[in-house]
Amino acid sequence: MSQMNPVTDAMPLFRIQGLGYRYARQLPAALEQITLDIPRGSMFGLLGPNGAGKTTLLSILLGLRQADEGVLLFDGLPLAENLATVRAHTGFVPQDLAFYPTLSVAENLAFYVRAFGVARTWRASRVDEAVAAVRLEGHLHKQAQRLSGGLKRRLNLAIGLLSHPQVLFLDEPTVGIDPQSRNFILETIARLNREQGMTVIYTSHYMEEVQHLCDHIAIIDAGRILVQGPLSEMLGQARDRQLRIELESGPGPSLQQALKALGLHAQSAQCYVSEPGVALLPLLQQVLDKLSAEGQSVTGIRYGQTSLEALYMQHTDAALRE
Amino acid sequence: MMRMWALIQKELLVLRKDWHGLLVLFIMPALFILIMSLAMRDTFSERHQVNVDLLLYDGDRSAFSEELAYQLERIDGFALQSATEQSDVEARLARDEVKFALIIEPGFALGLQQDKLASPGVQLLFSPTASGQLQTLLRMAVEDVVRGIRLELALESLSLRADGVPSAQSLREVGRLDHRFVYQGDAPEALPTSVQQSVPAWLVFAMFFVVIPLSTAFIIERQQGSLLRLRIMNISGLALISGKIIPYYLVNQVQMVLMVLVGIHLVPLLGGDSLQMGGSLIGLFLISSATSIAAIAWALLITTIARTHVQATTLGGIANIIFAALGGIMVPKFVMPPFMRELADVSPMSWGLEGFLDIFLRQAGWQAVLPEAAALLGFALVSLALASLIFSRRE
Repeated sequence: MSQMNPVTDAMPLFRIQGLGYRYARQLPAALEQITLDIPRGSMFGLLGPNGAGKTTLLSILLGLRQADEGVLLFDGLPLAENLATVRAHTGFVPQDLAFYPTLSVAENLAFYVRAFGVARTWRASRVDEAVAAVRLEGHLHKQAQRLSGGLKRRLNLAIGLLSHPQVLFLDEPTVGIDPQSRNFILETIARLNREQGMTVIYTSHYMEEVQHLCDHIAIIDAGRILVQGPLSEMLGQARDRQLRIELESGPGPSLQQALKALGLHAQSAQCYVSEPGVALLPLLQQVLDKLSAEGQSVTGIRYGQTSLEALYMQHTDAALRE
Repeated sequence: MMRMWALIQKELLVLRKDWHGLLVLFIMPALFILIMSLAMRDTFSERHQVNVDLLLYDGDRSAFSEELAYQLERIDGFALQSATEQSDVEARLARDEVKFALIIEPGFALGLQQDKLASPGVQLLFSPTASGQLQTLLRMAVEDVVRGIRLELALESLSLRADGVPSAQSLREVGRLDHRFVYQGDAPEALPTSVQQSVPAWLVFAMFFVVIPLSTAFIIERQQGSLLRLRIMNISGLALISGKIIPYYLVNQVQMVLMVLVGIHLVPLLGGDSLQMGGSLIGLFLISSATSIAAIAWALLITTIARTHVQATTLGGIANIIFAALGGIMVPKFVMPPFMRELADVSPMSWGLEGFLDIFLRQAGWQAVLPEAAALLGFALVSLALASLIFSRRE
């Protein structure tokens, strides 16, 4: 990005301040007061339930929509005024398999590298690099629609790499593929980030994937950022301090009240306490007695470092949305 | 420019691998031209104006009944077959083996000689599937021949009583009426044939069928995120639209050349007439271009209205068939009643067809196609404006 603006590494790649967006005046805000920094060279996970505003935010970052309000800087410069330059440094891998199924792998790559405006001199090397990055060498002459699910995802990723992007947007890039292919894609993304310093903006519903891959996250819900920052800090804050008890069914109001008296939060079919201020075992005994007295069965007890999934559920409320 | 060229090449490559699309664009119209040129040949051809197989039963077996058969056989397009039994005539009509039959009743000659005007002594019988026009034609022909024989008898009788009466033979040989076709330009060497009507008609139909491959490709691009990907690659909306219009314009022009070649070379191989390239090549280029632009704009409108490619192919296909039925593609306008001919003018296919007929049939110059070309381009502009409006609202 240094070609664009002489900035320090400390400056975030994307700086978003007070951003808001509505699809129509009479509709509620799709995004409201979004303030977010995406650090340069980071692996940034954008999480949220369906309809939370992730796609809207991504489409604004990609310049497909104009925010109604707020500031959006890319590399210190207003994104809207430098869109063509920004896009020239951007790779996008949509959730859908965005290539031409009847064309071969080679034909797809040859088309996209030209569509991206890559000069003739560099086209072959760009294609070769993308093919090598996702290991598609043995499949170049196969029709895209005849590839396996994992190979299709790899082709989708390869197309996103053709522009030599400095920032890569990945929208659920591992949906519907086997664990081996998923691991390969995740390793490829991590390697690109590590070796090329590529900033990766990643959305996924697979929490373990995000936890494994990302170093920064933001959780968005109902158009607002609920929490953001380095993942290690967020998980570290809760390390060894959370007791989570999973129940067979959601507790009723009286049980919720009783659990609250013991310092536990009830949420859907589980209850938890962060940073228990008392000795753990007596507290656990008390809670189990109370649950037993209310006829509530326990399906699991967890204690220790908070997982990203637990953090996510805690912030977004585990209740079903749709 | 490089990007637009990449989009055009990609579109042509995708189409090259779309066998269904190629069948619809090239094989379907070629087959229609072949079938309809041969099927409609007699409707246009002077040599085959009518084709009436007439089963004749002569129950009179007189010189007059033989004269009647002889005179009928001399009429162009009439072919007589003899039946030996009267019962056989009705049986063959009932089985639809023949469409028309004539029974000369016993006493036919006597009736003529005694001048019994009320009873001509012949019966016409038709199959229920016989063409109404041919029924009328046959009735008029038989009446005319019977009338002629009676006149001949009357003249012979008069000539015995007075001098200077013209002979029946001299009256019979009136001579055949001459006719000619009138063109906007110079008259061609050959007369208008069914292929002159079929090639333009099915070419216009095929051009509008770009809606099938175009909408399928565009909607799949939209649904699978390729369109989004291209937009993020800094490709402008104008380049994206041009990347659709230009390749399909080229496809339409290839269709035009191929269908003309089918008319010139393939139809004659199967016994039809050869297409005569007449009129102005500039006019042909103008009307072909205007029809193509209208067809592509219409396809883009259908593409934006439909949410799935199944919807687009259904909607586009049905709309095209209605345009074709109304616009004189499936049924030539000259056989339509007047109100249907007026209704045909609402179909853009009719404008395209009239433009091509100006060139192929009326031998007109390029100026003659300007009104139709203007109408087609106006239709294209309206379609593109609507498509753009719907697309921007949806996005």
